Amino acid sequence: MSRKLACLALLLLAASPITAQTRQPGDPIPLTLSPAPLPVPSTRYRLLPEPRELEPGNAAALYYRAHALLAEQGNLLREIRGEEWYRWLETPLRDLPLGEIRDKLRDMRPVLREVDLAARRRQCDWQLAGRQEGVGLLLPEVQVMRQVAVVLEVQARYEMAQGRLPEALHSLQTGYALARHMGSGPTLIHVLVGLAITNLTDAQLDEFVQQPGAPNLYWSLTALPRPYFNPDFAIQEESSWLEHMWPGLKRLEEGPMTTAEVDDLQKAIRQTYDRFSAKGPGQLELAAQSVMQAVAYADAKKSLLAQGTPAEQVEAMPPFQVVALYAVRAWHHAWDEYVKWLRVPNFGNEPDYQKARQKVQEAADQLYRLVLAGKLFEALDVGKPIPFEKVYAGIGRNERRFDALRCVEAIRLYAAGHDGKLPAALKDITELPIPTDSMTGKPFEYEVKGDKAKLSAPLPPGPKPPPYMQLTYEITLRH
Amino acid sequence: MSRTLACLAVLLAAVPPLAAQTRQPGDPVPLTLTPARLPEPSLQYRLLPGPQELTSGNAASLTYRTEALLVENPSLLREIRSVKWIEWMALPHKDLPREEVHDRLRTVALLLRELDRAAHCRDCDWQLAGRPEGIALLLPEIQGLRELANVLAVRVRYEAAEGQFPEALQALQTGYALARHLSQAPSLIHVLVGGAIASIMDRQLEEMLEQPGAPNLYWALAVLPHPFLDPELAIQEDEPMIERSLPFAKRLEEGPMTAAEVEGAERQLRQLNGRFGTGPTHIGQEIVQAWHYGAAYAEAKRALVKEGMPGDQVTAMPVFQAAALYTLREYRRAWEEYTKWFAVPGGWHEPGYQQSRKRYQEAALRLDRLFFPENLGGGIPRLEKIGLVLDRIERRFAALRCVEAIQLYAATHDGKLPAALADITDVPVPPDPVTGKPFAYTVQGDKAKLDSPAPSGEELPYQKVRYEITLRR
Repeated sequence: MSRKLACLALLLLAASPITAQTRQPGDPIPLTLSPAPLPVPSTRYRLLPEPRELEPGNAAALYYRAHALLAEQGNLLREIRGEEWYRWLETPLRDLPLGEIRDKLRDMRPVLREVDLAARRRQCDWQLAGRQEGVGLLLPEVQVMRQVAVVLEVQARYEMAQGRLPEALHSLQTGYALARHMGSGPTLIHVLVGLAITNLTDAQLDEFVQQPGAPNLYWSLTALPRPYFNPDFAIQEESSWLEHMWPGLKRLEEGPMTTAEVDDLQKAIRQTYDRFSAKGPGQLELAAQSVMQAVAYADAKKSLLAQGTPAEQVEAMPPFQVVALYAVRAWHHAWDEYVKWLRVPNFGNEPDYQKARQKVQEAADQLYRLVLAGKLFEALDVGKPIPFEKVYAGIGRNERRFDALRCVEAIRLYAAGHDGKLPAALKDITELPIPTDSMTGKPFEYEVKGDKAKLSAPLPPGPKPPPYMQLTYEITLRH
Repeated sequence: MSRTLACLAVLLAAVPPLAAQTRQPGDPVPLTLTPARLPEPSLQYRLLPGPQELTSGNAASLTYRTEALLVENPSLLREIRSVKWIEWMALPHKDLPREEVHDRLRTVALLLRELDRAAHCRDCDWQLAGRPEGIALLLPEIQGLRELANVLAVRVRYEAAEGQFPEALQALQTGYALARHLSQAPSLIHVLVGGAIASIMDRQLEEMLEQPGAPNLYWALAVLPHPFLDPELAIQEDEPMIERSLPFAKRLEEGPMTAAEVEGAERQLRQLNGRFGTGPTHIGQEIVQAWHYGAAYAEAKRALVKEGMPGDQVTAMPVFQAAALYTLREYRRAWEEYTKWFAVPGGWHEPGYQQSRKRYQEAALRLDRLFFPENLGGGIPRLEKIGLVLDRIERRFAALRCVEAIQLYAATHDGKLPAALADITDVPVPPDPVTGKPFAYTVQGDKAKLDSPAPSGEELPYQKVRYEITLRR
């Protein structure tokens, strides 16, 4: 599966948490809540392991070890793929077959143990940055993490069903830490799997706050690092794929190359086909590329001179170097112009972002034509634009969910101090700051009808977002 | 798999390298060699990645990741477990079905690349030290590494058979690095598996040296770290591992326990035994166990007072606490006396070691009787087995250095064998590191025999290293 397809598949998964399958995306989430004052101390219950609980060491090593245990124990691997885990995510807590789940969780203990320890490590380095495989780096282990997260969430439900709220919270902590560790990974696939895991965990957190006696988690939510996911590292890595895959490309910038150096570089590019066990370009394709290089030479030269490369240097460069340097610079230039928009809120709606995206596509096409040759790189989506707006929408949706849950917990607190009554308006809650929706910067919409309240995220500007981008809680208070 | 069973399985697998199944352990290994000068520079080839080749990062993470890659790829997992690799390890180079091997190696290239990256990492932390599971920590991933080592070994054979020595050496480096990294882990099972993998690689190295055109690896062998396997962390971790398995161990030291606390400790013990199936299996064992507590109590009272504990405190202690405390203290002390010998090179051959070993065995047996009704058995570490593995690896490297010194001598003396090892003056000829004595060397006609003298009291055939050398003309 190409990375683009993998990304899209993950975005879809991240958008619709499995637990919500009985509801349609965008349908209101019903919450039946008990009033709850703040615990003492107010951050007594945490949604991520406390800093003082963290042990030195690299979490990724233990996550990999969890995978290794699965690989070596075929029965565990079969077990973790069982469809019953998904079913139990949807089964109401009171209907869960506790005995069966207990036995299954016991089998899973070695894997959950590793994940539990990993979640409480101080660092997480997946040791995949700068890999020469570049965009061809296979990540089959990443998807399994989603299955592990499903088991973790079933564990949280199993504990909630028995009223063991501290244990359930521990499982939620592990899920959130796993998600954040994934999100700190060096590829966007890691980030997307992290998002998908957070969605799974959020659904259980919705369940958790509804449990009678559930502590008020307002400050636990507030204390979470924000933004919860930062894809900068993954984007940096995406920006460097060319030089990671062919370190020899750096030589293009370092003055005129010898014929032997050009040969070595071209050989390194061709060897990529072997690395991917793919058929290299045929004679016809190579001949066509030579023609295209010859055609592009004059423009390439002009462009390098315009960029300030000394004329005598450009003249002394072999034609391949001139054309390749031109194409590589053009790609980097287009990419930088593209990713600069990621710092702008709602960049997906900006016309210039769309134009920049098109430029990346053109620069990637030029790179294929002039330097890389062959169908392999096109098939791998090498250098093509990434639907960042969708990635960031996923990140924003996650932020919004935390904001909305903070409001929910503020309402529980208000009710605890006001005879179990709902506030008439969010501004009536004065004990705590009420967050705005971080996606739009606007306050959450809130209305009370009878003994029910509705909390909705405001719609962002522009066209109406798809249903999975909408969030509404329907709140009923227990008396 | 319990750790006891795992240890036994590893030892059985470690002793006779699979490729050597056609020879009996201790049989001489025939080597047909071509005279070979030292390469220029003499360290052009290495058996472990050179310091300048190392990159930052944790080798253990990438080794785990190699296995993790198998999770979503059942065909690759089947491939790794195929009996073909073991068959190919035993085939002479000339009989290898090279095309088929090449195709199979291509299939697993992804895994070998990951292992190669791991081999080049500067650090190796398996993240298993201090784990609260103690002896309950399962290590199923270890077996998978042995399977990967078989694949690596076949890669060495394939490359050597193709005359591609740099590539063969790269695979050997990866294998040796994996072996060494395993030996730096905090469990003795890791060390034993490391030893088994080093033995697999040794066998490939021997065969590679026979290939015409193979470089002289005298200095590559000479610069290997000594000891090659580094079990220090595993030894350090093993004693607290037992204690970590007994959560009440710390409480024993903190004044007399209440009846409720004793009950809690006994419950923990029952849970532990339940998990491992090491508890009493019939009423007879329970009676014997109770008797052991009684017997240990009398001795414990005397010993604890002698160690300086106030008499009234000892008297106030329940039988369980006094017996358990004394047993654990004695086990700890005996362990320290026992393991200190591993800080001395070859210390396990010293007479003092035997006394410490006896004391340790008694202490371990007492602990086993008290807590695990003698059902732990082989689960209590016997470090001399580690010593034997260390010896075997060191001795083979030293013997191979001699072999390479002989190849060098022949290259500068018209292809002739030296009459005696002392005739070799171009490079130092190492003694047998186990005995400290020179290797036995005899020449008969156009054949030479290099033999390791048996250390006193040790006649295990698989500990011997014997080469029968013939030079090509």
